[in-house]
Amino acid sequence: MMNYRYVIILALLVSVVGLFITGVYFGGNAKSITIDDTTNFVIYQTKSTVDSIYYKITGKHIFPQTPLDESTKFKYIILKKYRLPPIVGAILVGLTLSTCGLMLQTLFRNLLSSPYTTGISSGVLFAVTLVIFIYSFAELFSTFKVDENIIAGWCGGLLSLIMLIIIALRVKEVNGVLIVALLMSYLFRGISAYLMANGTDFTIQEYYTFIIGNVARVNVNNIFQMVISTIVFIIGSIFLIKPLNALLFGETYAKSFGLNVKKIRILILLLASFIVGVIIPYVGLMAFVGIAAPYLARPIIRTSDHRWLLPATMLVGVVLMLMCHIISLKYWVPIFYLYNIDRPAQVLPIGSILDVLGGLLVIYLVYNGEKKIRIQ
Amino acid sequence: MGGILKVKRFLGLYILSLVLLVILSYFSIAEGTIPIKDEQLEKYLLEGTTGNVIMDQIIEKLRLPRVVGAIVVGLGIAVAGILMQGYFRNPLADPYLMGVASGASLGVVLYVFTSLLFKMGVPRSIYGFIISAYIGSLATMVAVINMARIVKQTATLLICGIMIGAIASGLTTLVVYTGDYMGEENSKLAEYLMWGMGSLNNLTWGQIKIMTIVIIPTVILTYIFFSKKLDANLLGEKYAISVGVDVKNLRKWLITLSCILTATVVSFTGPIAFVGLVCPIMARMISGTSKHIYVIPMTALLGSIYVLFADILTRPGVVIPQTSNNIPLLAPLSIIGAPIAIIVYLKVRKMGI
Repeated sequence: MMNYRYVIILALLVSVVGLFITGVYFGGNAKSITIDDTTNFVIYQTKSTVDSIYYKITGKHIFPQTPLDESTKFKYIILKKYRLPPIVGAILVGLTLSTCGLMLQTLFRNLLSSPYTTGISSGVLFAVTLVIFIYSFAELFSTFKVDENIIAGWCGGLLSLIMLIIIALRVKEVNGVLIVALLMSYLFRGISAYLMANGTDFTIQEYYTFIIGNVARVNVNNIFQMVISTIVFIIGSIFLIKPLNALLFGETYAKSFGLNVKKIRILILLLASFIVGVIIPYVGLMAFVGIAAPYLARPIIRTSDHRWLLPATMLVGVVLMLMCHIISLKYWVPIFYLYNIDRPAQVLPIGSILDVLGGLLVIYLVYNGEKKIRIQ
Repeated sequence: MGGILKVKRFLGLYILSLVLLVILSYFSIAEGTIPIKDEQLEKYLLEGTTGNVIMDQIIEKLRLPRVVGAIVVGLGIAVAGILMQGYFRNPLADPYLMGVASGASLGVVLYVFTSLLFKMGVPRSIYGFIISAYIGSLATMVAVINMARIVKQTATLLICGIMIGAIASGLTTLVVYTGDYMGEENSKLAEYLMWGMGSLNNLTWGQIKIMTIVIIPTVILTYIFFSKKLDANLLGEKYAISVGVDVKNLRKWLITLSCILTATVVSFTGPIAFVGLVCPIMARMISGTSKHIYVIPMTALLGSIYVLFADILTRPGVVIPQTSNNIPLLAPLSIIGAPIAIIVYLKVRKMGI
């Protein structure tokens, strides 16, 4: 059994790497960049990185660099600035949001909870919308010397967290919490639509990319914050594995285990809203990763032990997001061959594909029997 | 004695809401980017012209269609809501939250897309829009009903409806982008996106005529033939059968009628949220009974009032500054509707329905 799980995790890792490479090679619609160019770019980047490290240690060059000609330089810039960051963004989104979903599902003991359905995402999105449309909010949040979107995201996350706790105190059953949270997200959306009235075309465009969800907004400047927060999040979630396992057996068991259940709950919620508050402001609303990835991971890994389930969920989330990313870039291929259209296609927002795939999956999940929508 | 009192009370309520409707219609004609003054309106009513050709045009081509459209749309969607609530025996059922409205909009978008894909294809006519919206809403409805058979919990059903809405909106984006790739003009596609949030801006008299022809008879027929049966159905299937109501037949009719109403409205205005949920509940609260003979007309009136009011709120110069753009109808509808829905949900839970 142990071996089986190792094999599964390894297979998932391999597919992540495979999809990553596919993404790097085919993740763009620029015709001038050929496959050879990409290979050269990868080799060049690796060489220069190794060389710079080596140079710092010993003071000598291991791979002496030849200056590039203009067109190659331009191609490399495109690859580095526009092709790689969205892929990394997709990986980060898949990793963090699916883990969040798993934690919330264990916490609420309900397979339909995720950052989206519990309203955390909508709260973050609402705060970011305020920053987009109202100038004074942007001023207020930018006083912290950090990107104002992150601060706004955290504020929104905390706000929705408090709301979630209040709702959970009033409504005991979990589905009720989800419904109230979803209805609240409608309210937020309505208020955002009112804000749109004063927006310029540019801000309205920005808002639309937010509500659909798009990794193309991730760029070299903001990827650093996302990576750092993701690492913090992963470390935090590793510490939460044991308490999560204890929660799985029920509250009384967890208490007898010597666990402070209330503290653990608040910790989980805080961690979730922390990472959602960092990720969502850059990529927009990603609705279904949080539900779909844990749901797919459970039958694959065949256990609900979080020591295995957590990494499996992370990897499945990454695979899902990378697949969606590649589809969002290549959706025009069948039409291209059917109609011989020769013009560049826009990149589809990844959120729409995620909506379709994830939504179908969730409905299948409900369809498959409500009995199973409980965590044994 | 009690019966007469009741009738008197209802007459009073109806007259009150009709007066409210008239007052709101006045505001709806007067407010907007170019406000119309009282004297002008008085002159228009008495003499048939304001004395200014442009003002006449504004009233006839822009404002009046919106007033009539809002009344008809509100009526149709509110009655569709009451029919769905009867079907699911669940006060939280609503054409928008159940995903039926999104299904209808998906049908319309797919229709446009197919007419793009097969270039000789289907002509783009109003009837094509209606029929595709109807097919889309029916398909979604069938999916929701199938799910309702499995899922006994109200809450899960609602979540499923919301998921269906998400799928529909995702597919809509997909179709819009593909259409863009195939060479549809950008502005038109942006229009479809905007249409996805509901708006009464672009209604023409021709569209309103079609809506009225479909909606008003459907609502009247529903009122005449189904109000008693709906009462019996609300008390439970066994009771309804023992009273002599063919429940299976009734349920089929409920679905068909609510789909027709929803599809007709949605194909012209885009999804209209929360009206079908809020109005029946308010009607029941105001009239203090859930007998459909009293509730259906009240719901229809309230629906008209609600949509008219929301439409006034979307105009520039009412809540938002004079110089700004129109807001989608979704904004006021959900800002008013969502809190009411939450309160209702919390109350319903306490009553244990």
